Amino acid sequence: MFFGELAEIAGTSKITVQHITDTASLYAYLFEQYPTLKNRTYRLAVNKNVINEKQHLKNGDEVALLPPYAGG
Amino acid sequence: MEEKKHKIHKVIQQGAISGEFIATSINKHSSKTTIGAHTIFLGQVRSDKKDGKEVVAIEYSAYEEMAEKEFHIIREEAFAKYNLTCMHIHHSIGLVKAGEISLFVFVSAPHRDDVFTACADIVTQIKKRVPIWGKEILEDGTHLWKINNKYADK
Repeated sequence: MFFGELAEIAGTSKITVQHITDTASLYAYLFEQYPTLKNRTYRLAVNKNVINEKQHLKNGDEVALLPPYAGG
Repeated sequence: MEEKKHKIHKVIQQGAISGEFIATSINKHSSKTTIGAHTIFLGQVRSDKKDGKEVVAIEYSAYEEMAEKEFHIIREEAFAKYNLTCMHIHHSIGLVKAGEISLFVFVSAPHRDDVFTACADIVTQIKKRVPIWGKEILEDGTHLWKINNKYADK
């Protein structure tokens, strides 16, 4: 899932990907599809939990790219 | 009757938060007579100048499920940390015009020290931890993405 400016860059708020086994291969896929993402700041959430390290992904996981928050 | 602290309250609402809504919320507390102090924080959309153009509105969006979860955690933490009677948080999504209210935090306790500290803390935690984004709509129809400078990732 893409949010904020990242949804604009991707041209969509949600994509489904297959055969991705961890966050590293997800990044590789995303950078190939959307090169602009490389120079943007964001965090990754897997199933609504922000992660800071490489993580294994399984079928059905919901991954979100979260640009800096701007609530309030 | 004391309010149940572990109930999940929906925080996110569509559009600006009206003065009437805030007034009604205040009035609802007149029966809770253990309360001696309330603080209210209202976040208002500011008409900043960006590249010489005025911000006329902010269009808020959120990762709603995660945002509600995070609001709930912030709320529970505040109840654990301070001696509070009750707390209400409301945040807008969708279009909020300059001058309108997009965040309403309402904290009540027996004594004032708790509400002053808790309210400031809660607002800081919201800005830091809740996945909400704001598209600043400029007067010429173009837009920019709002950044909470203090808490932006480096």
